[in-house]
Amino acid sequence: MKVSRRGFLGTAVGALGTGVLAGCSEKLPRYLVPYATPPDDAVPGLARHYRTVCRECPASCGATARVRDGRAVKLEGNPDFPVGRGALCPRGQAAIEGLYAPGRIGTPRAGAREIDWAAAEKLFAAGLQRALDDKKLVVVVTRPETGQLGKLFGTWLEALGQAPTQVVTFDAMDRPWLRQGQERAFGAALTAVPDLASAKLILSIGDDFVEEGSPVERARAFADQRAAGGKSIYVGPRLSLTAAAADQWISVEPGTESLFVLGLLRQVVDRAGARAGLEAATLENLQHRLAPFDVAAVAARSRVDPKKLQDVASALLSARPSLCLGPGRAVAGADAAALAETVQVLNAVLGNVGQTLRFLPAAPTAPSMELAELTRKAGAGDVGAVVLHHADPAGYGPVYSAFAGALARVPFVATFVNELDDTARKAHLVLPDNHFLENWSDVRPRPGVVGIQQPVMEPVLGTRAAADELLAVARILGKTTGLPKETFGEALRQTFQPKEIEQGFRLEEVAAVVPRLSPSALAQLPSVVTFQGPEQGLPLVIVPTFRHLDGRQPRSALLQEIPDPLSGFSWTGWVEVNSATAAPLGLTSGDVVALEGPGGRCEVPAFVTNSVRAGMVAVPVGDATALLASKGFIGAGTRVTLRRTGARVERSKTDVGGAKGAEKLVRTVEGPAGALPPAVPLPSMYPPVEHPVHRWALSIDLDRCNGCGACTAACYVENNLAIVGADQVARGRSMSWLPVMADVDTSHGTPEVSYLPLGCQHCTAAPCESVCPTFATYHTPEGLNAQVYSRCIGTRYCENNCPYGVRRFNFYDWPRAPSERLGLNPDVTVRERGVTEKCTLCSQRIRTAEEQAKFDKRELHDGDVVSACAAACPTQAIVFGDLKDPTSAISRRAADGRAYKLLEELNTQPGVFYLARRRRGST
Amino acid sequence: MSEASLAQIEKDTVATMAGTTWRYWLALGSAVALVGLGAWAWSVALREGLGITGLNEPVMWGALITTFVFFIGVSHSGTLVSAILFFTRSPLRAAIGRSAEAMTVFTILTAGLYPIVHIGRSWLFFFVLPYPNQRQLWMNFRSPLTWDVFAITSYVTVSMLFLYMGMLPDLALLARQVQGWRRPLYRVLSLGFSGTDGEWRIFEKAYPIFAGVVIPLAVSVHSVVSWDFAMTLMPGWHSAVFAPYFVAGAIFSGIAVAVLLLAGLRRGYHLERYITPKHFDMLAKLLLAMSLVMTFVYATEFFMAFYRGSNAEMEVFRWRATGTYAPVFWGVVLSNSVAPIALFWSRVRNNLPALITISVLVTVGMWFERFLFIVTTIARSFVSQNWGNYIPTWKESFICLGGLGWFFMLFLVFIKLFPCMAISESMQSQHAVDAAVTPEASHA
Repeated sequence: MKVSRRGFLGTAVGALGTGVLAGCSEKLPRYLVPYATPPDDAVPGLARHYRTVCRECPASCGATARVRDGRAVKLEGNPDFPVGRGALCPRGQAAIEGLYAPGRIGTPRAGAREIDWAAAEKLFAAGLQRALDDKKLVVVVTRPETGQLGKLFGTWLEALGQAPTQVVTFDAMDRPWLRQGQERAFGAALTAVPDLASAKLILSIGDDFVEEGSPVERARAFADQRAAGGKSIYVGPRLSLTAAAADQWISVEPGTESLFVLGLLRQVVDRAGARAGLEAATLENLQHRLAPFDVAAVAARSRVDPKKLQDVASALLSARPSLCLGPGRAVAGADAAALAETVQVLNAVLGNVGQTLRFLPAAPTAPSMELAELTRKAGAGDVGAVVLHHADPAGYGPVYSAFAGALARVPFVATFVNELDDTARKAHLVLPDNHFLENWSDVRPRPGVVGIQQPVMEPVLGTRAAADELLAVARILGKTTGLPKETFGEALRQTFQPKEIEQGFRLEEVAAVVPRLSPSALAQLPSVVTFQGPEQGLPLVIVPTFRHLDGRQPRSALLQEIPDPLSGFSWTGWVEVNSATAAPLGLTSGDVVALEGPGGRCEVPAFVTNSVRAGMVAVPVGDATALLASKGFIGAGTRVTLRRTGARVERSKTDVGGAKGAEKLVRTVEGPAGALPPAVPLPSMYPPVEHPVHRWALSIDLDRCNGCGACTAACYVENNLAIVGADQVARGRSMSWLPVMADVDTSHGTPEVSYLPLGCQHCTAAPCESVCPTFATYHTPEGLNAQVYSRCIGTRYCENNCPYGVRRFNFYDWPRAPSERLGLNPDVTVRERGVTEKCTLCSQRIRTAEEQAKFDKRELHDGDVVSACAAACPTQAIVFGDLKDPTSAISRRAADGRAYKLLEELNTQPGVFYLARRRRGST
Repeated sequence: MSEASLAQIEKDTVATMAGTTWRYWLALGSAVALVGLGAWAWSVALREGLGITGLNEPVMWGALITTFVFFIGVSHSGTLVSAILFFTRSPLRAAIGRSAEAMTVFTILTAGLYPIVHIGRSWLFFFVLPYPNQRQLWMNFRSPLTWDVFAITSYVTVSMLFLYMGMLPDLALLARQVQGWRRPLYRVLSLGFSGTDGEWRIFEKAYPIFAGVVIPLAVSVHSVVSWDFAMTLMPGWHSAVFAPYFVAGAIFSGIAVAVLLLAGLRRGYHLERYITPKHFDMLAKLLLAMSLVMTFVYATEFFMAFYRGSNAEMEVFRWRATGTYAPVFWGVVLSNSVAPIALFWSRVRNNLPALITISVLVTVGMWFERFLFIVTTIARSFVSQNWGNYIPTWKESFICLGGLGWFFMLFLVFIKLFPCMAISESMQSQHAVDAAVTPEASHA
């Protein structure tokens, strides 16, 4: 339970404002509207949109920034960009928050002292000069920079007279074993481009592709695959979002996933190896290597039903093409590369290579330095200066402690950051970089795809681009050979066509390769994971989360506020303990547990659940870092002990299914073609309500929803929702308009999880409307359940009478740092204390689109209005539209046999409807 | 009663207004202190927001609304009892009618504060009033809260007029009796009533009209308050039994409070001669009858939840009896249904300390009963994500206690300014008694 950069904000809610103001020492712009002289085509009050790239994680989804009067207020996806295809994950949605975060620094610092840029550059140059004079190395440590900035680092080092290879890519999220496994299986460096959508069966070996890697892209493809009738099996210790979205979850004895895969491979090779088109020698080699892994042996060792193993093998053989993925971080032990190799061999034998698994030649990467080498050299005193670029090795606890320790021996450490992190606090010079929305850059998420990151606004604070500072310091040192004369942004812009910048990307032709299985494949079989740590401890599973990625600082206040839909915890990590394991310990959900691992200890509340295998515990990655030994960032192989501390932490209530005596909100149909019984219209004493022109509505496909929470985050940003802090969330005062709920159904044996975003249902016969004494809430002719904040006196009668419990009350004037106010959406009122609020179906977007249509002298078309949640949804589970338009996407959905409304028997006639989840049963 | 001469009645009643003992000042001081505490707590709520209360999602109504409903309930029996006693020509009325009416007016004035305290933007409470404004905005007539506004304002108006009207002859009498600053006050307030035959004739005609209006109004007001709950669709609230249930509950709690007030007055001002054990006995019988009605209603609620077969409703009642608030529920059953059974025995009815104990239990029990049905419904409705708990905070309790102080403050000031027993009615009933004893005297 680390205190985050704004943890104090959470606890200081009661003491209105004072603590928050103290947190923001940076000077903010003086003027309300940042344009002194606006651009000629800028119309005050009209938004401008700029294409750029989201840099919140290395996946680099395409993004579109909505800029109002010179300030970015919302980030959306870029529908034309191959990565993301118009959607963003919650982290991408919350990027705007980072732009205006009160923790951002705007002035350089030497130690704890704030200095101006001229002094900082002088200090920077002096530090480098001393390293050069001492004939020591200058090394750049950067987050993944796949574009021209990555190249610039090399050129810059060369200009300084250093080797261009002295660049270390620091990425705690990286999963190197996947690349290494491919290379071992196919004998060549390759980039895999899996095509999930066309696979008839996806087998994930602990690969949480909905959560890590490139989640937005994969989630969309996975949802499409499911919608097309594809099946999916997840093998892993924990019911992750990916596992929950899959049809079947198989958990094996921790660490024996490799045995399961080998057993599977042997089955496949035995039954179809001859037809796989492998070279005879390769096949023979495989058969020989796999001989010990017969079903009985594997089943006994990995404690799985032998029939299940054979069933999976049969399913893989019959559903072609299939796709095998993994291993993900959750099951990756020290020998993960060998397991990855086995998975690729399985793909090759099943004939997936070239079908659902395309390969591109790996991007030519500039030769670089390994982290271990830098650690060694820095430890030996050979390194004179290290320039960190958005890299925070000290922030990962024991994981990179060796590197962090070596860094302390370097005479000069400069770091480019947005907010102070653990490494920056120890650095000699801290240089505040522009936020990615204020900076030029480019990224290559995979070969052939170049995303152009253009600045969408002037910097909020007095920050400067890192690349320009490198150039400036090179000029001071008089070593500019090969470096651009102009700014990095200018130089970069010249390499792209204006049209490419406008669309936000450039695509290049890259020929796919169809590699053949290397004859030496499986030369070394993956071993069973060995667990280290206290003897009596339980194996630890690291839960990947895209909210906090690898747990890096700073953590977004918004993403911490949004509770995890399954466990209900917000503002804290948690430890998942199976109920069978928790019972003897007397643990219940919410009990704070002290975990002790080989690397250290942490205290997190327990979540007692059946979504993790008995006899192990699962901890989100950000908290798990404190437990790991300093062997690097792997997911499996650590044991931890549990001890109750006696403290308790409250959870948000996110359960909409299991409880006895409660109505079940999630409905399911059997099989791909299943339909619900048609709803019987209920009698009413009132005349039917007419919607003369539009009837705006929202539909949510529970079969596509994977519970990621992008809709929730998008709603927060779009509608200026207040972040209330840990204390208030624990009191049940979260302001979320669209929280994601979960339904865990255990009636079929293994738990089946459905996620359900639950916002205002925009009822035609709304119970809230009839009870409001002041008409603050009423039904508009367009079908919205409108809330007039200025009329609301806060009787909260509406909240009592809402059977869905979706209305929110402003218990306080929720504090906002001055910088955060700059990022408010000017189209949406900020609510004062004492009024009730809830989802408006983004009425501001409806108005904007209607006005635009009127201006263009045309009717509104389907798709002109997209609510923030629908725009954000990576899987397109949410569709917004007009039910009066029979051709609209939402009208087609309303006619679907799976369409139903929540608590239909109350006859509230909601405008929001859901599509039932499809149960496929076991394969 | 025959031992009290007319002069004695007048003297005793006026004595309650004249002498101020240290006990009175202590009581008034405590009441004012409670008001101060409540006012401070409310000022914090106004400055910071309702976050200082224990309210949360989903329990949006709590102790403040409970206190509102409680005081509305208490208010009912006062005027109602007084009017009923008037029509039944009960001799009891002369002794207790005035305090009961005053209690009504002051409890409703207290109750009326709570919706204002409770709303998120108290400074805009007038949005619920039909005031002319240039935006031509009107209230929502479909909302039971709007009905509440009308019901309560009507009731407070009529109750005040009823109280005032009944006091007119006494005020006229006092205007002649007292000296000093009170004399012009009573003279103005008595509206020139001089006790002529014509005036009495008009008075005798007008008074029953008010008494007649008050009875249906009392029933309707509490029915309307019950519709705040019954008109919703929440399980445990949405029930046709609510209106009679609330009226019965109102009379029940009102009688209990009346017993306590009368016992206090009797002790404080030595009115044993007027407020007799017979009066307490009759009140106790009424309390017992209402307790049985309440027990029946509680049973009906549970039966209807079962009979209706609604999942959500059964869950609410199951949880009410066995969940987080089970101790409160069984405490309420004990105080409201079990304890009053003792009143079947006349020895208990005639034992004032026992009756007072039971009345205290009922008063407190009725507050918690309101708390229970308000909170358990919204804390346990339909979907489990909307299930929760609620515990009032200290500041919230202070606001509730402040209301109690406010009521006592008003009442204590009232008994110092106005006769707490109807002097003229006491005299009339004394006449009636005398006439019954010596028939020729009345002919004389």
